[in-house]
Amino acid sequence: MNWKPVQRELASPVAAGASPAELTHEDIDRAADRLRVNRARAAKRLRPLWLLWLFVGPGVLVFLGENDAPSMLSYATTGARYGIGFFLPIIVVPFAMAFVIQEMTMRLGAVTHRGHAELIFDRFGKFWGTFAMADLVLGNFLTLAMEFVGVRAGASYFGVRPGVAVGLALVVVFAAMLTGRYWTWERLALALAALNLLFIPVALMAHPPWHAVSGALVTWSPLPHGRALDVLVLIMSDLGATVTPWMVFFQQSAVVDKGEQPRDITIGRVDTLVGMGLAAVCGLAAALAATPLFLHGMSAAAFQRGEFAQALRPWIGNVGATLFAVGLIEAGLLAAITISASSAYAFGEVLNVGHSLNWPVRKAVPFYLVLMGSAALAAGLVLIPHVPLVAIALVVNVLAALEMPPVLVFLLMLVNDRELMGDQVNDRGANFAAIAVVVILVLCGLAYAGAMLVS
Amino acid sequence: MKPEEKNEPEKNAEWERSSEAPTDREELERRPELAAELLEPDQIVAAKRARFGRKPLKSWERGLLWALRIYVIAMQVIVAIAVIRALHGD
Repeated sequence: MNWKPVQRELASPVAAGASPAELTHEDIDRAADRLRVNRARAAKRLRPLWLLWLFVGPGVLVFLGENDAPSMLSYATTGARYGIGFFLPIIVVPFAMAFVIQEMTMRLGAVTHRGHAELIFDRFGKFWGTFAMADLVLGNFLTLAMEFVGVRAGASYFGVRPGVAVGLALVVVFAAMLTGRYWTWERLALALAALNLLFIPVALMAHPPWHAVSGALVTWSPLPHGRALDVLVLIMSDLGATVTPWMVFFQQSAVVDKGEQPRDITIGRVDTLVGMGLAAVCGLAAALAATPLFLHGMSAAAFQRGEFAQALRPWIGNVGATLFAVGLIEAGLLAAITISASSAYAFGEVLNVGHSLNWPVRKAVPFYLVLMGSAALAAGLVLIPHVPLVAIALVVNVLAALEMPPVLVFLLMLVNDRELMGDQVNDRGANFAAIAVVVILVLCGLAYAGAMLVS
Repeated sequence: MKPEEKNEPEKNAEWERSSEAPTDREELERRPELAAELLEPDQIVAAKRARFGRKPLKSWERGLLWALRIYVIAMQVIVAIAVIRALHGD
């Protein structure tokens, strides 16, 4: 019985298929996931909700994962240093830019069933692929280290020693990956990601003047005062807190590992949109939560790490400060899980070895070794005395934003490649939006470089 | 809406009621042909061993990639300067 919907035309010459005898453990797991999708599609009641439950994952995880410890601290610094004004829309608008990017990423993964690193190596060769991987490795490693700094900072509010906090965070990262099943890993990560919403009650406890918030979001004012370089660093930092290379690599690989297909693109878009919306609200909440520091004339310079929770306690109370610290720990933990997964996926794709969370550890040793090794190395860096973590923390988001334009150009070239994408190539609107994002990022980068050199 | 999209839930429902429909992962393991049908042909791990071919880059594409490569390296140097300055308390 031919129960499957009409198969799409396979654009690629490699898409010849494989015999059932060649199916692996990974394929069977993925088929079991598709079985659930087919059942949901056949359901007479609550079909959209059931489908959303099955497909929510890569989009939400990538956006809430990007609301990581350095990002939340960047947003909090923004609120503490400049209060309610120009920077609120500067926090929100990049999420719209990120949606444009991540939607293309999701589509590319669903159509090609290949990860981003694999496609860059295949289509553009080792030379360009190596550059892309070098940028990813550098950015991922520094960001990963900052996640453990965030966990350490959040845990310090509860009096947990740095070594213990980082050790426990590593245990959580390792435990999540030992499930041997993408679906289980994804649901655990989503449960953790839900804690990102804790920043919303914290913002409410800060009692921001809502008329000023809505005014700032509409008018982009009042404009910030101070050194141009400081303002540009914060703009770049907020941009890098929302659009980063690891997001592209992670979401595409996660979409492939989840087994999404071209007919799932619409629901994949919904997943990405939900993730964007939640992350934008939580990012805004982190900034608003820290505005009491600005309103009471406190210097934000002293609170660049974990001291935000302590500093905010007089205004948001013990409960608010505790939620802020827990939110910071969650932000670091979730990002450590997703970023280390993005590194492992990319290495597995490039080395052409097993690269799926559907494999048990013993059957995909190189994949899990990279996953665990990158997390362990980053955690180790945080515990080395005298490493300039504050200096790294200041630039990690900026670096992410600066490294984004070539990643985006590769993405644009791939998503416009008709041989790969068939009729799912970008339309003009998507191309225009993506090119605008590249131009904005390059211009911001050049402005930052100019201000750095003349200061 | 295309006809095949319109009919998809009905097709799936019909299959769900049929004796051919697998019930769980164990059955998919026993009957891999059903598992293969649930996946797209190029989604199967064995099919992914074959790589996509190289796409010849046009000269403007190559120029753009080089320009962005130089941009990233220059920006990385500037970021390194920012870190050094921060370390020295400038």
